[in-house]
This record gives sequence, structure tokens and C-alpha cells, in this order.
Amino acid sequence: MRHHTIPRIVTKLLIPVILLFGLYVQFHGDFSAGGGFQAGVIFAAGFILYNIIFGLDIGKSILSVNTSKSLMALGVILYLMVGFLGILLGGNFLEYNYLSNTPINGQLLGIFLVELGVGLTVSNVMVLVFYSFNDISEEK
Amino acid sequence: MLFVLNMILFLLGLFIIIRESNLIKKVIGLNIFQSSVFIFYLIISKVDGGVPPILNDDQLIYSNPLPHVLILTAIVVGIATTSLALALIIKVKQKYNSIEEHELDKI
Amino acid sequence: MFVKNLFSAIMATTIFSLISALIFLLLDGVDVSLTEAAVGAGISTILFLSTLKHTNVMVKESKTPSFPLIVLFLLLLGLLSFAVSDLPEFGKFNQTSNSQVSEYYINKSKTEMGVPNVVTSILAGYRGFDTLGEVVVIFIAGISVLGILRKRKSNS
Repeated sequence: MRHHTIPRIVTKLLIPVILLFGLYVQFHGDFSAGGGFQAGVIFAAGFILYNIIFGLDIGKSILSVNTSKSLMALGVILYLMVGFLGILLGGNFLEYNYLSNTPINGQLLGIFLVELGVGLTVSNVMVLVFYSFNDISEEK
Repeated sequence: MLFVLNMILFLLGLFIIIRESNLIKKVIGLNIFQSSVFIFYLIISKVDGGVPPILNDDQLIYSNPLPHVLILTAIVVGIATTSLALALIIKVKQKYNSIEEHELDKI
Repeated sequence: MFVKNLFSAIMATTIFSLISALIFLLLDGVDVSLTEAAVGAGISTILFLSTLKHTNVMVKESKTPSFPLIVLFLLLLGLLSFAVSDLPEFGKFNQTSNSQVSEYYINKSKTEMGVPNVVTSILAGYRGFDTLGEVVVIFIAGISVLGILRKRKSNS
């Protein structure tokens, strides 16, 4: 696909917009429509578009399979850590009130971290599934 | 009226799952089936005169946010399980060289 | 359903997903619509097409008898239409599904959480444990796909 001019130019223009929109949906999800699940999926869609146009080799030099695997696990671990931090600071599992000086700030911080974990896991699972679907050797 | 249309979509998805012999078409039927259930939940959650559940000061009626949460997670889990099904289909094709159910039955 | 070419079937599925995203938008589910547009029209199409690369594009004719199935489905249609008459009226405010729990979330989200988007506050705050389970399910599905499709190292 690299030698088709129109898809290449259009993709070059679109990729930053898609990734920026993904980040906006992730970090502004508390105040407008959005959240971790949507942002992860949008981010993965932008990255997969890049891979389709420029080839898997260049895509893997940006986000390698091993990095993607560790980020996928990191998302779940971040979620669990926020839960256990609530216990350590004197509350229940996943109780965010104790994370900061006031309950409201604690809730905002907790929701932010949890959504970050969700977004990391979802986007990396999607990218990994795409990689493994296109890496299969043709065996008979 | 909306419920009747939704019911027809539901039956169509179920019919494709049972009738079609091709495995990829079965997965497509599963997707349609899934979407009909999602639409059913959202029809229940809609309130007349309501707006999407993002709070502002001069609005009193909102649509019910609880089904939205359930469906939001269900869609993403749905794509994850669909990818699992497609991976299994690729393995079946590599092993038995066919993805038609009536051919797989003979093996 | 009637096409013999799987490519056109997949494209029809994509269009169906986009239309259902529009239906979600009309029914006030903005977050759901955003997800469905990205998942259904973007990623699921790419996954189906990648699968098609490894399998046949054309569908072979099958000889399943469809007459008894159609009779069965007409019966099911009658049964379900009977059930539809019991469902609550569309868009009414005072019905069971809109009772106390959602009211509590809508009233308290601003003061307890400081988050105006009620969907986010339920997803990550009030029902955080459910979401933890969902994330683990997605994680496990990703691991399983990696395990199923892994490359053989040095075929023996």
C-alpha cells in the first residue's frame, strides 16, 4: 500500500488527528462523552491504520510485540494496584476516597488512574490481536 | 413498534447462526444477534425528553445511564471474543483445510 | 445472508454496525455509539478481512433443508410477539427499569464524585469491581489469541 499516493497522503494527514482524538477521549472522559474503553479502541484503530498503509515492519519498530505485551499486562496491574492502594490507605478495595486529601480529589484521581489502566489494556490487546492475525506462516 | 423491529433483527441473527454452514457467516450472525440485544437495552433506557447522561445545571431529565454502562463494556468484550472465534477458525482451516460445517462433519 | 462472496458479506456487516451506531446515538447513548463506531466499523472489519486472507473467499453451496427451520422460526415469532405486548411503553419515565438505582446515581454523581459524566462515574467508580472483571476478560481473550496463533519454533 505504500506506493499508492492517495491513501498514503490521506493517512499521513489523518493519523495525528485520530491519535489526538483518542487522547482527548481518554483524558477528558470525566467531563464529556468518553472513557478508557472508547479511547483504547480509537487509539488502536489509528495505529492499525498506520500499520496497514506503511507495513508491519515499520509499525513494529514503533511498538514492538514485547512492549505491547508488557503494556497490556501493565494496564490490568495498574487497575489492581489502585484497588489495593485503597486498602493500604485505610478504606475498602477500590475505594478512592482515601487516595488524596479530600474525598472528591481522591475520586477524581482514582477514576483517572483506573481509566488509564483500562485504556492501556484495551488498545494493546487490539494491536496484539491484529499483529498475530497477520503474522501466521502459511503452513500446510 | 421499535420492539417488533428489534425482535425481527433478533430472529434474523439466530436464523443465520443455525442455517448457514460457513463458519465466518456464523460469526457474522452472532454479531447481528449481539447488536439486537444491545439495541434492546438502549430502547429500554431511553426516556422521553431526556438528554444523554452528562450532567449540567439547567436540565432535569436524563436517560437512564445504567444500561449504557453495561452495553459499553459488552461491546468491547464482544470484539475480544469475536477475535478469539476468528483465531479458532483460522486454526480449523489450517488443520482440516475447510471452514464449511457440512464438510467438517464428514471428517 | 444470500451472498456467495464473503467479502460483500463482511462489507454489509460493517454498514450494519455503522447504522446501529447511529441508532445508539438517537437513543441517547453517546458513549456506546462512540465505541460501536470504532469497534464495529473499524477493528472488527479489519479482523474479518485478515481472517479472509487465510481462508476461502467464496462460500460453497450447502444442502441444509430450510423449510422446517422457517416453520420453527414463524412459531418463535408468534411467541415473541405475544411477549412484546407485555414490555413497558417506549420512553415512559415511570417504569421499573428507571427506578431508584439510576436516580441515586444521577443525583449523587456530582456531589460524591465530582464527575459530570454519569456513565464514567458508574463505570469506574460505583461499579469498579465489575469493570475490573471485564478488563480481565479482555486480557484473557488477548492472551488466548496469542496462544492459539503463535508461531511454531523449529518444527520438529
